[in-house]
Amino acid sequence: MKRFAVVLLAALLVLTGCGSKSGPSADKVLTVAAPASLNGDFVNGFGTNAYDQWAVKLMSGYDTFYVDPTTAELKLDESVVKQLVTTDNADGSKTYTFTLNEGLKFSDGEALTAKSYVGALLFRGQAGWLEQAKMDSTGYDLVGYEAYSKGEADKFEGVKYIDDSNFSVTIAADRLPYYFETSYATVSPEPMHVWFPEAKLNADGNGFDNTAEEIAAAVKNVSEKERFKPTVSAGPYVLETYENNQAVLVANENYAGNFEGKKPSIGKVVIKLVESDVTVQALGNGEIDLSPGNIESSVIEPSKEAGYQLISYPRNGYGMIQFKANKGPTQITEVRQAIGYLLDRNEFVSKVVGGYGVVVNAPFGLSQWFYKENKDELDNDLIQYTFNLTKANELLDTTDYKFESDGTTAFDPAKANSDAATNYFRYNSKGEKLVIKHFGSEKNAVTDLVVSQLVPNAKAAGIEYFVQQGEFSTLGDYMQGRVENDYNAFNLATSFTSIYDPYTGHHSDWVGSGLNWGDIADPELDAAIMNLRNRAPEDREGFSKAVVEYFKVWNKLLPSVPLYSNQYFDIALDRVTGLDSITPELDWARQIVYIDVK
Amino acid sequence: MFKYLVRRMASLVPVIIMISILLFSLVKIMPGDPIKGMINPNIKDPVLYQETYKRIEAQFGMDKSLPEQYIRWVGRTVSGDLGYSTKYNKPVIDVIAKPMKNTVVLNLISFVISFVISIFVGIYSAVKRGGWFDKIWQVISLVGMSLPVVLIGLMLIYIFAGKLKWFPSSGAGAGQGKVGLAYALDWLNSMALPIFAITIGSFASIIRYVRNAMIDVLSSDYIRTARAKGLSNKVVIYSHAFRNALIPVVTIVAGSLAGLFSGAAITESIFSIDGIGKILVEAVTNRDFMMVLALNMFFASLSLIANIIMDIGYALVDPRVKLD
Repeated sequence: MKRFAVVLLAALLVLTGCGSKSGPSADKVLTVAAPASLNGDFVNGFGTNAYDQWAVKLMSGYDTFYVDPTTAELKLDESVVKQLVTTDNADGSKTYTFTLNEGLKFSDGEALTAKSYVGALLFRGQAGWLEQAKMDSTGYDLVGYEAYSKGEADKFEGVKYIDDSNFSVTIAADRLPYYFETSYATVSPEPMHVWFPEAKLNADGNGFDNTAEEIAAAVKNVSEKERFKPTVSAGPYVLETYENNQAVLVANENYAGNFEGKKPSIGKVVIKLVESDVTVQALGNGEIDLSPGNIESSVIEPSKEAGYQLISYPRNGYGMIQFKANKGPTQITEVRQAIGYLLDRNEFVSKVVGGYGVVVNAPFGLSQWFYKENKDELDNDLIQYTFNLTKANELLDTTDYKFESDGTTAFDPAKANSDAATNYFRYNSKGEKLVIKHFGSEKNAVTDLVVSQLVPNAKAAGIEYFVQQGEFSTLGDYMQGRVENDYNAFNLATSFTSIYDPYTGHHSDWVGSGLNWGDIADPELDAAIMNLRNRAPEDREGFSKAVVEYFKVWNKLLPSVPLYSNQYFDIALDRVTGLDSITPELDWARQIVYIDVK
Repeated sequence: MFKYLVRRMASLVPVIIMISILLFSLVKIMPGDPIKGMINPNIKDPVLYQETYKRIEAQFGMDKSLPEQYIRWVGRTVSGDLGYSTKYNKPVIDVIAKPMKNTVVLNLISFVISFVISIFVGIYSAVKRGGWFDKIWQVISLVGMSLPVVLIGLMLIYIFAGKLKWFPSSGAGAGQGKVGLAYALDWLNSMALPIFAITIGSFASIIRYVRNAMIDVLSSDYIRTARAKGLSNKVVIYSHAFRNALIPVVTIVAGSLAGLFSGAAITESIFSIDGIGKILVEAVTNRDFMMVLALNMFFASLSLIANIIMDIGYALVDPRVKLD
């Protein structure tokens, strides 16, 4: 009887599995709320924002490695790769040779071959492309990237097309060992037959044999057309339209499924702008099915009362005030630290995320394993920046900003803190006022708190703190240097992927690239980062210790003031199922194949 | 009339040239260097940086003298090329086409509705001065004038989207993926609340102008004479009084046309509408110079056209004014 029950259960599971592979239903539509405008930019490397990224993820598929939902580790996607051979080369580099499964197709039915992977690396790595897609770092860690990306070499040595089923990538020796080594060998395919139909690979399979004009025309095609309306995708969905602040994606009938062979069941996904002020009304009105990533209690509490489905998970990231460490007074560590002491971060936590978050002291999220393992040490050893006007003044007095406007008389905190002081600020010996220019996004509780709390607190310490509010996309343009500006502080939040590598985000190699948001360049921080990342994949303990050391250096330098790490709430109508598949590393867009609508 | 129109249009040319010179100069003295924003920040080699700078400068004609740049810009604009958006990395015309359509249609519908409501309510309020109808509309117009469009918008969303569920709370995706009548109906359904919001903000003040103008006219001697002659109330009001009352109203209505567009950014933001108001704000903050120039020229042209409409309106409602 027991055996029969097991067989019956197994049969049911198989049938359920088969059912889920029956393909998407055109009648099933999932409408998702984006709390801010999409940029309408759907090719990575330019200026995609978090909401464009939802669409990008829906259109992405067939990477060589995937993120395991349970362990957050990168694993070989055997539905894509039939065979992987790794070779340790004599010069210390390491080659990954992939053999692809046959039968994989893009959404337009075109076969997905080694050219789709090799072409993507060669195209994204070349100088002409990088002039347009300034934030692209695809292939950065492979042999020969530097010369190829600068246009000094027409061959990308670390990339090789072998035949339509086989290709290889070679990780540069100086990038190894690396704890997340497989991420260097994670290659995403691009529809090269659309991006660059005239592409001719050279005899070595590591460069284009095309003329400069042909390559430039292809770059122009992608950066001016495909970028805004990708016509072909490799993922579960393909973009149908983007207009009026709404992106509509339809299921890709040719998608063979994720690493488990799981295909989407929802025929159409709509991502539309819904201001957070009206999220609850929009849910109640049936205009949206899902509002992901809410942190504000003003949305969470009414949604609870309304009886909507709330899926909560710890954020793999944190909210912050990001400084520019290469511009204005925030170049000075003590100024950044002083600002850290001018904030009541607990107030930020309680007012912004209600009871759903905690103060953090370094760039980590509550869900990360190395944080959980080292929680006690981190809690004890990191500087706790709590509101302390005296401490802020002491720090500022160690800088050149310790004078009154004449540049000689010592600054007196008592005068700045008096009610009568309206224009009493710190100046340096050159007579320059201590001014911080902050840019924050509109309708943002953190920006509001910066205005109501930090501005007066800063004034009490002699800092003139200006706050300008604007579009979130503008904030990104300013912070990442796409538009010239003189702001030196920004408030925003970030989330980490399963690969915790602060290299591009905080290492001096990336100053000015738009990826090192604070443009911080510090030798001690660089060393801590390299010590963290240059670990063998199996050296979990070494990585864990190194990450703590990195946090300590970071916490002292304070490139940004971490404000909170919090719980995320995805709020949905009851008709949406499968949301429990979402993890801190894999959001709804990554887990779309497990989500359904009744 | 035709001759007048041609002459008026011709007279606008020097005005537009003056405005364009002014705008071009203002944009040029705006802080920030658009070329720097277009260079890959990864380029750290100063020689390569300079080469790239020069190349982009030449590509966009920014290496020319300012007068030459101005003439080239005017030439391109006249031929329909509004330049290249550095933020969106595509021609300005491609960026603004759809948002412009949204903004123009949204505002024109609101304008017509508010005009019609204002005329009828204003006249009836004046005729029934002091009555309940007049009092109610006096209150409504006062409230409409006093409340910012942000608050009106949020109240409409709360009542009509949140509570009554008659309309969607945002204009995002209006008409998308539909054609013909289905497009129009979906668009109108999504835009109903923003249209209401703009209309309320707009008619509130015009009603008071129409009412007050009508009250002035209705107390004139010639109206008393007309009544004494035994003319019907309808003839007195609509044939004699209304036309005269329209003279001051025309000024306000024509002037509000340009105002509607320039205030679009707020409404577009509340209702998540893809419109030019939002794009203009973004363009200014991003130093997207060609976009700023194109949109400001649009607003300037709109004001000039509103002026012509005002003059024609005067001639139509006031026989003493001749279009010659």
